[in-house]
Amino acid sequence: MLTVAELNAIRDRVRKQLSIREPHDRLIIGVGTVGIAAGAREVMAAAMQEVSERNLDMVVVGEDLAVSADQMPVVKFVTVNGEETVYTKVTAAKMREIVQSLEAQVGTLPNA
Amino acid sequence: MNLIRSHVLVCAGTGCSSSGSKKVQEAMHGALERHGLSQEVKVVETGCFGFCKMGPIVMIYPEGAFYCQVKPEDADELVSEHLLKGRIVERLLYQEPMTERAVPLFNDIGFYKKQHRVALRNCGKINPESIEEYIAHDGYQALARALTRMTPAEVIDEVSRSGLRGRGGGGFPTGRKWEFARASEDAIKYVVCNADEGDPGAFMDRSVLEGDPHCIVEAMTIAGYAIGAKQGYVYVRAEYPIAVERLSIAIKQAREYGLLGEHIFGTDFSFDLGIRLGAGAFVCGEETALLESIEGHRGAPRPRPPYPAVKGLWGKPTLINNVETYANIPGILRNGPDQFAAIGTEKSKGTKVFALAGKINNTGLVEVPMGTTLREIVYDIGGGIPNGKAFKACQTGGPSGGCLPTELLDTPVDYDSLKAVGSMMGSGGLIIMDEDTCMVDVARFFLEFTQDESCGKCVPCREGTKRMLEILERITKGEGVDGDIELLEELAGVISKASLCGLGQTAPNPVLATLKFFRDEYEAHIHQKRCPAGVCQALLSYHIIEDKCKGCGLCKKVCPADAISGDLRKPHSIDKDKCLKCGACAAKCPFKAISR
Repeated sequence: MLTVAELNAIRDRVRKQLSIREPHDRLIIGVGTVGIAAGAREVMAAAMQEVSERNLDMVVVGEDLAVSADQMPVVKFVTVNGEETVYTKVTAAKMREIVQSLEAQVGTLPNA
Repeated sequence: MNLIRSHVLVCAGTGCSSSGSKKVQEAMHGALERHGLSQEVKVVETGCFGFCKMGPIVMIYPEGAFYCQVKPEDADELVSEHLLKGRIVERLLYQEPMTERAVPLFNDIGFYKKQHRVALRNCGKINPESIEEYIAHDGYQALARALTRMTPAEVIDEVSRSGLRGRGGGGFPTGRKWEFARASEDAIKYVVCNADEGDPGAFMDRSVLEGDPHCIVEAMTIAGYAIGAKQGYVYVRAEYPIAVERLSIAIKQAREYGLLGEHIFGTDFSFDLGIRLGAGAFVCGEETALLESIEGHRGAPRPRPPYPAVKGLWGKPTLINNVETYANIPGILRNGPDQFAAIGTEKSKGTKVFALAGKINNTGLVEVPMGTTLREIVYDIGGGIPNGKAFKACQTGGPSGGCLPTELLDTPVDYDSLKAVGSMMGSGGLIIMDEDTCMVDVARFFLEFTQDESCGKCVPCREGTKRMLEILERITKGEGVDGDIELLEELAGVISKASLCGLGQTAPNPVLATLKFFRDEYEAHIHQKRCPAGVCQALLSYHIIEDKCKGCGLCKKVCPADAISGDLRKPHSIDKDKCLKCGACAAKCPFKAISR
């Protein structure tokens, strides 16, 4: 027999897994051909790991961001309201720092 | 790493499944594996997105990119371009028919922009085979609230205050129906869901069952609590195998989670659900015939009263609502009746789902607030009429409804406005017809359907529809005689008044509605032996206009009956005795030299 509290717990836990389908603050990694060649996949892996470990309420997205090759890998943080911050020449280590710096702004997902 | 960064939603409704979405899904899995992305991208099977013409549909989140008519061979490009490199694959995007502009995002597509999804809120959004995804979208919260914080009377009061009316066609206030069932005193009562969707072209109930089956389980359990029933049945046609399978899974999951069965949420309330399969008879959508069928008898209506709320299934008080009606219930109890009542018009609250079909660019399921005009549905959502043709009429209410002409395009879609212009809401079939449609032939088609589906129990329906169909067949064959229209009207009046159930009572509607707005077409068929739309074959006579014919010979080549003769670069002619009236010559002629 399920209690209402258990129902709510399932709701909160699964909602976190599905939050990707709702509007979110987005961390966009420039993963076009040049971006990947410059290490964007590693940057993305670092971003995903950090976001996951910190349980942050934002999504990591790959996009073909248009910037000059010497600025790659590039990362753009876009809030749900459309405010943008661009980071260039991002490394995996720098990516982790960026994610950490955004923690206060985006907040964390509810834990089940 | 356990973070999934993208969800690929592949529609697995009946429409997309039949156009190959299962293979697309498999191809997506394979492509993700090959590109090493299977740990960070999840493929999810969903219910119907409603835009069946564009299927198979694939949506990629978090962007909300909407890809249509995706083939298995497109999977590799979607993965390597969109999911790996973040580039939208433009060639698979939806193109607005009016502007030919490619639209990348779901929310920007005209077809969806004006829709307001209440009954279909989870369709295409969640995995219908996962109770947890439903729960994550506030599923079973309404049931929890009803069982733990409300009395049955309070539940019924909220349903009444929402203004919800039956979506199966009648438009009877749902709260009152629930009150009647509650007021009937009996230790055994039943809750039934009418999922015997029979209108040609209508598939909204199927989509709800395929895309969001738990909302029906939840709503019926709430209804059981409200009226004092412990058992419910969903009567669904066997031709809906995917809907039946998903509903079966939903019921099984609900039992496993304790959301069906004994002492739900630790209360004294117990409820369970069963599925009963119908064999597809149209009359079984009529509530008393449906009850007969559940009991194992031949599907034929019972005289009313007594109404099912008093004496229904196995003689016990029974509440019967349609799928779409139930689909609105959880939202009403979760968000409050006022929020629901704020949508729509004064007497028709909420939204209505329509199955948009026929001569229209965007066919599929649309859910709009009551009061939206037919024009908005046809042009803003439906994208207008294909091939530059003109709108001629739209049929609302399925075979029991009426055809409304261009002059009534600004009619708001609600129960009372449609009734006022001689049509009805029905269950939500909306068939669009263009200038090439013969309205007499349309009436004949619908009457042929209802005549075929008449159960034969009462004479007016069994014999009357047969006689009406015979007259219509004569008219379309050019054998109509003076007085046929009056005879049709007389028969229609008797059948409407004397038939036992809704099927017979509304069967003459397509004839009456077409006579009301397109009487001149009937007269042309009868008196001039002419079909103005050029549809009724017996009334067609193909001939070549000498002045326009260049003697190119294309018509001669395409004619399957060798009925066309003539020398090259000289006007040709058609032998009327040999002509099959297939129209192939007229379609082929580049000079529009063949008239009919």
